[in-house]
Amino acid sequence: MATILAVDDSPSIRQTIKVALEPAGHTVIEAADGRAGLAQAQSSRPDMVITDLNMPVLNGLELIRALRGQACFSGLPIIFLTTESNDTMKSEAKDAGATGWITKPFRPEQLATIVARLVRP
Amino acid sequence: MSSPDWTESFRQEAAELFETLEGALLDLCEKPDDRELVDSAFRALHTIKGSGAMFGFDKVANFTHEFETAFDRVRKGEIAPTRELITVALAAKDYIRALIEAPDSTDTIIGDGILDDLRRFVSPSAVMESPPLQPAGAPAATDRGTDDDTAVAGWRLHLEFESHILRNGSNPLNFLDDLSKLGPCFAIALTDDIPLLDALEPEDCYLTWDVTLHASCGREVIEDIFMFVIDEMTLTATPLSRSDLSHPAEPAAQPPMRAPEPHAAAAEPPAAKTKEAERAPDPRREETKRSDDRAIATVRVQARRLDEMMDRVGELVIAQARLSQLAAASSDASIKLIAEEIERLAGSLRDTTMGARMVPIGSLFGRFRRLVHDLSRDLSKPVDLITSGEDTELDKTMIEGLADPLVHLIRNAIDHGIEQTDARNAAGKTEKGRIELHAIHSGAQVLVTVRDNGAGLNTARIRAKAEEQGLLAPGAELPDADIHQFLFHPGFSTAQTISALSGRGVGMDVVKRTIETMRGSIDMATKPGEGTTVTLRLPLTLAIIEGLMIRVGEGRYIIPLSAVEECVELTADDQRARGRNFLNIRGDLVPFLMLRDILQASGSPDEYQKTIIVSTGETRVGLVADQIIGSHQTVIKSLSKLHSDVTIFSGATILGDGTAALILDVVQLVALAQAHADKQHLNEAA
Amino acid sequence: MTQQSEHAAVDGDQTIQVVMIGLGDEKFALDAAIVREIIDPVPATRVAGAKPFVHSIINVRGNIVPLADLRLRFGMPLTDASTDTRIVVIETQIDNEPVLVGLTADKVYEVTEISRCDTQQTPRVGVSWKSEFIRFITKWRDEFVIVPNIERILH
Repeated sequence: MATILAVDDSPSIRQTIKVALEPAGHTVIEAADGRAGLAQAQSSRPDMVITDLNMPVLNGLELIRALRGQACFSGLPIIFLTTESNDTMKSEAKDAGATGWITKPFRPEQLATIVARLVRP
Repeated sequence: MSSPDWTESFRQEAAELFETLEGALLDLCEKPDDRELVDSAFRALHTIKGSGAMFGFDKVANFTHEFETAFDRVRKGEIAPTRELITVALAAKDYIRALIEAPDSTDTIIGDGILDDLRRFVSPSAVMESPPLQPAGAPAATDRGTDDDTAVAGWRLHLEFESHILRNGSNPLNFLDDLSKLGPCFAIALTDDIPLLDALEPEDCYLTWDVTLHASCGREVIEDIFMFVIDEMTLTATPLSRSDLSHPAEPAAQPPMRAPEPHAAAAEPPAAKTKEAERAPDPRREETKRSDDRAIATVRVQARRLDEMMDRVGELVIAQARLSQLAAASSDASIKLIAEEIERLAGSLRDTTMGARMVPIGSLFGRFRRLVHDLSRDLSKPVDLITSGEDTELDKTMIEGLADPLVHLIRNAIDHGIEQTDARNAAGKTEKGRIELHAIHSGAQVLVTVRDNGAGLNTARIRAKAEEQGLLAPGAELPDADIHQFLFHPGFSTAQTISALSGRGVGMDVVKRTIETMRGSIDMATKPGEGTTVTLRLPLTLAIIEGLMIRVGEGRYIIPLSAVEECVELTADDQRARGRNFLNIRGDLVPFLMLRDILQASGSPDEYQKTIIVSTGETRVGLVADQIIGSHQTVIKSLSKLHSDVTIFSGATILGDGTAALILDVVQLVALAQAHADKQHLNEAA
Repeated sequence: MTQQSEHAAVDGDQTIQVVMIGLGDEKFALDAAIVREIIDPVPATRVAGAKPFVHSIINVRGNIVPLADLRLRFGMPLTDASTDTRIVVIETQIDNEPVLVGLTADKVYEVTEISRCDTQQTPRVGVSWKSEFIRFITKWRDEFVIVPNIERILH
């Protein structure tokens, strides 16, 4: 199954992502901020990235832009976590190159559905 | 969502976030222009809100949402983080913490009041309205239920995507897959827009699709599939009636799920897809199974597990000592070799485990900033808190044990030490008082000092109180330092007025006892008009120490190696001069104790007695034993309550042969030797 | 622990399960609820300066446990250890904290039930023991048996 990189400064959110996705056979690797996420993406080449937007060091938007700036990550599904229901955040992230988003709070199965939609075996 | 482990990890995380938040807020008082602080506070709020909602703390999420909304204006630079705003923000933080820690006993009226205050600060004219968050568990995506489209038998769809969507990770084939899950589905890829090869951008999407879907679902169900790309595509959806579907000329009337032409491969059921074809142009997938062992730089471990681990390591060290003893007695060289190997491994495992328990003291210092802030406000004494040595590491149980004593010392320093502003002005001091909190490693000990630049201890008042309590004969001659020691007497308090802050039952005696149970000691130095310094000396760890094993009579005892300065042989001269128990160590007279007497040893003493010179701080004392056996990894076990009256031992340990050995309490022995020496002086003087 | 044993003593048919031990010429019944284990004698380490009746410590499965000798509390002569000597490890409360204590027993007989109904109100003639050390005296197989008040004894 797929390797999914979860980037969030909140360990409990990363844990939730793990719990949501590991039963489906995915491998979830973690990073606690944008810079670590970028490094992790470069070294582990995940099949998908799930990132928070609000993070220290390198925020989610910057991470998405950095990933999209590299040819090897073109086409990589990237979804971001957001608590905002406002559309400016979404369109900003979309403009940065995000594939999609999930709104917090989410249930594990919602996340699993979205991942299944974007990552195919 | 309500699994207890999860909420627990959220609680732990929230506790850390509160510290970050509080630290940032307090720093903002001093540096209101620091963007990084505002961001850090905002991030903490944001995470508390997001995670709170995830873990069912709806009240937390809703409240924090409003807090965050208000604080967002600070972030945007629309309003300044004034002291008043920070005070409200701190109250809000406390309220959120209460919502998490004791949700049942937390009154929402308080929260509403705080929110009103917050709103007043951030927008004096208009009260902000913000929609509450969705409760956890409510679906964030569109409802999948069907409504007014129930009559629809199917849909005819036309899909056109913006050319860049492949680059952003969306795959139209996946959308078609998802559509096919709704019901029988027939898709035709339209290739008209594909340019000539030399103009073709390999990463652009040129195809458009016509899809016939045999599913009586609502439009929103279809839109849901395209939710991420709905702004980057044209989706036209025309409902089909049953008659449309049965029309023989329609492609949909053909048996569904069959691929009529190569371009429509996407309409095949997912299982039929050729995996090779999809994977081949994507070499990065070959690398995805590479190890992810660099993934986690830190992990969160429950403190209890660390304790258990330390216990196990303790048992291992004891078992290893037994093995070494057996191996030493054995003639089998390979057994000896294994025993040595295990000794080495047990030793390094011990160091690693102890290292894992070490926590920088800064995590503790951080908590006091709030205390100082609040005390300073409540007592109207402006005080700066200066901390240093935050990186100094201590065993985590020590850090926990230090919290209360330090709170007390800081309270004392501000309440009793720092003078009121007018008194400071009159004394020509800076108007703002200063509390310094400092930590530093010193050998196998850590020194933690609390220093204030206040008035210093009031010796006269302490003396008066001691006389009043009958601890000191009126007018008796006593050095100031000894008079100050009365502060450590149980129930001794000189506070003239019992303020709400200090004088609340916990006295310096409790502080002293707490420090001593951690095998530490406390010193106090004061200068009238200049302030007081309290120094706590603490061992690095509580669990395992390097010890020196000695024999006294038949019994074996352990002396903490950190206290040992050197070992010397007791000369015949020294032994002859037993009337006066002093050793001459390179010109210094050092009092010594015959351990055989103190430990009531049986049997006759060895001919050549050994003296171990131990020290506590400035004072050196010799301990005379029959034999020095050698160094010993000592797993400290506390003595039973039944032995709480025995003070010369700080604990016990288990030796390699399974017997128990007592650990000598060097501080107590030094005090004992000094008392003996003082008595001798008196006798000689008489 | 105490509360439990007190309850056990008054509840139901007023019987308590006990471990019967011999100290000197007397038999003592220890509430079975507080007995953790019974072990063979192990080398003890003397604690200088401790109260005489808790003169030593021993290693019980990695725990440092004080070894108490009830004989000293009841003024009985000390005898050398025999093949019958055992250490009964009990858990009792001191200042509301559970504490393990090893008790030296000259002999451990059996686990049995005694009845409170047979309680002897009158202390036996010629015995000058502190009454606070004794919960009650009862009869077992026509012999007098002392049910000691462990907490008072260890205090």
